[in-house]
Amino acid sequence: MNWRTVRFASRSVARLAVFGLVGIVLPFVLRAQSDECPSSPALHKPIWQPYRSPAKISVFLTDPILVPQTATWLIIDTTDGNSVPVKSVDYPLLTGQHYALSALVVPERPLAVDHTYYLSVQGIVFEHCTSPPKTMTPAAVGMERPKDAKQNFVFSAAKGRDDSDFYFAPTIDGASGQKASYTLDTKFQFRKSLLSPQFGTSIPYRPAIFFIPGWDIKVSSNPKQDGNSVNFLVPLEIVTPVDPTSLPSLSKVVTAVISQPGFVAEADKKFHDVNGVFADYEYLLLHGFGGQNLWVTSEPTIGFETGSNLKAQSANTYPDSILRADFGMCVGLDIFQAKAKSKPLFSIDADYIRRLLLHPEPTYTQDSKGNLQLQSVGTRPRDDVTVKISYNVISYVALTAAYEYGELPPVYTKVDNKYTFGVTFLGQMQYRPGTKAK
Amino acid sequence: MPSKRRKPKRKSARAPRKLAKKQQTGPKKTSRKPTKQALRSSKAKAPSAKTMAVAADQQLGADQVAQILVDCIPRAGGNNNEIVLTKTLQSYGFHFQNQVDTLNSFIIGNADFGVREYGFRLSGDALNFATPSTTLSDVADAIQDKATPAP
Repeated sequence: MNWRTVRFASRSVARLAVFGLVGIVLPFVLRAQSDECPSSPALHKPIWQPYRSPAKISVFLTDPILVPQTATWLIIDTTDGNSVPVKSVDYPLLTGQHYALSALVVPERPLAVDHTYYLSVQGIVFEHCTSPPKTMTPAAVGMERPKDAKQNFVFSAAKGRDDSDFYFAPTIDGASGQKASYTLDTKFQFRKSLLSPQFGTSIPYRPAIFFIPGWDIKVSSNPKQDGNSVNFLVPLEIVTPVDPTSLPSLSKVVTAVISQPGFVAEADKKFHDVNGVFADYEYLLLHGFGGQNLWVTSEPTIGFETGSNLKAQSANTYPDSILRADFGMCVGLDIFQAKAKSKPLFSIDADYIRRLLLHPEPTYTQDSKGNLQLQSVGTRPRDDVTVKISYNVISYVALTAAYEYGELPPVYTKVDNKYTFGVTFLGQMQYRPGTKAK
Repeated sequence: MPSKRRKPKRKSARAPRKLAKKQQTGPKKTSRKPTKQALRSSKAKAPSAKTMAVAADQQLGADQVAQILVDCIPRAGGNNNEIVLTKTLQSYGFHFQNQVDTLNSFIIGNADFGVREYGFRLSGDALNFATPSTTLSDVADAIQDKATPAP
């Protein structure tokens, strides 16, 4: 069995897997969105608001309700063991909608700020349900603003790499008879607002400006790994929302323009070729389209990169400065599952960028030992495309597939039809007072 | 033209709610029913009147935060699906981080649909934590906990 046969076989397996995944997904897509009764609706974050007239407890309902309702509300004072009579309850309809998502509970007498109260409800019927939920856990009433509410930088666990501001994952892979390989996958970004946005009726327009320094690195000593780029970023982000009041027609097509100018240090994984460039990307955020079951979003991108080579792998490979014009497109597609589910059933994330090199730059290939071999120097356009597919089989299990093809600066080593498949298990344990087994 | 149809509808639909808000969040010592003259003057100087109407440590109510979400999500590029707090921003069409940043700008900065409509302010960093996989309940909590009455 020669190399070509192996390659053909692996591609065939990959294609079969993609078709198989689509085959699994399609039946679920057809029954994607249905009006399901929520499985575990709850009261969320009741707070005491003595400054409203009349003084009241406002509470979120996690799922929509229709009005009128004939529910029974109870305010329990756990400090003295009594209940506070309820004077009236209002379910304010959301403007332009047919449902309510909150309740305003007015007690007969004001609540004491040094007491602890719980709010509970019985007999409330949520939309798409024929009867009230069997149990709804009482929720503690917040008597004042949480102490850490004004802290904007609170350290908390992230769900994955994409969500993380700080990600650090070193791994060592070893096998008997083989040399161990070391991989470092790390990411850091810090986001600080320099200017708050303001726009709308009777106020002067100003965009939001953020300062977002950071790095994004994935390097490996394994020569079979692709030569990913290493980026150190010092960018600004300027969010320019389109005001729907003053530009109603335009805002239905474009919701915002996001500029990301900044200095970028780009390097190969061994830092043999390092470029310092100033880059500016403009993302045009188009309004999404679709229906209840499917939603498509797109972001056309244009930009430029200019700078110079700081360290070259081979001599005379950068005869001029670096100057690139870039354009691309990000497309996201989500197919939603039943209303009660928190995540989309199926999503596709495609990202394409074409770099038009206005000045010559080198292209390298990688030998079996991971060393870079100069292939050519020229201005041939360099493309890069990634496609990620995620299918949430159930709430805790997701199947993922990814495809990558293209060349990234500075060494433009080709990633040739790389397929990745995976299964993700996600779980979370929550403590709910009052649900302990008897 | 859809824009011509929607604009007057929104204004007429909002007017009673704004009035109700002023009655609800008004200072305790003042009369609950404002006089016609007071209403006229508050309409003429709407932003300052709203700002004065809220005192030091007030928080937005659940009904107000829910309305902010319902107003801002479709205008920032999301879909019109019913709001369910346990769902993620991605379920409302916010697939990319840039879209989430746009939604945050609407909530923080828009004077007609965001927290400013209720005379409240949020710092520019208040919603930095939000990503496409953030749930609406987390966003709602942050709005309620961090929004403070405008000075």
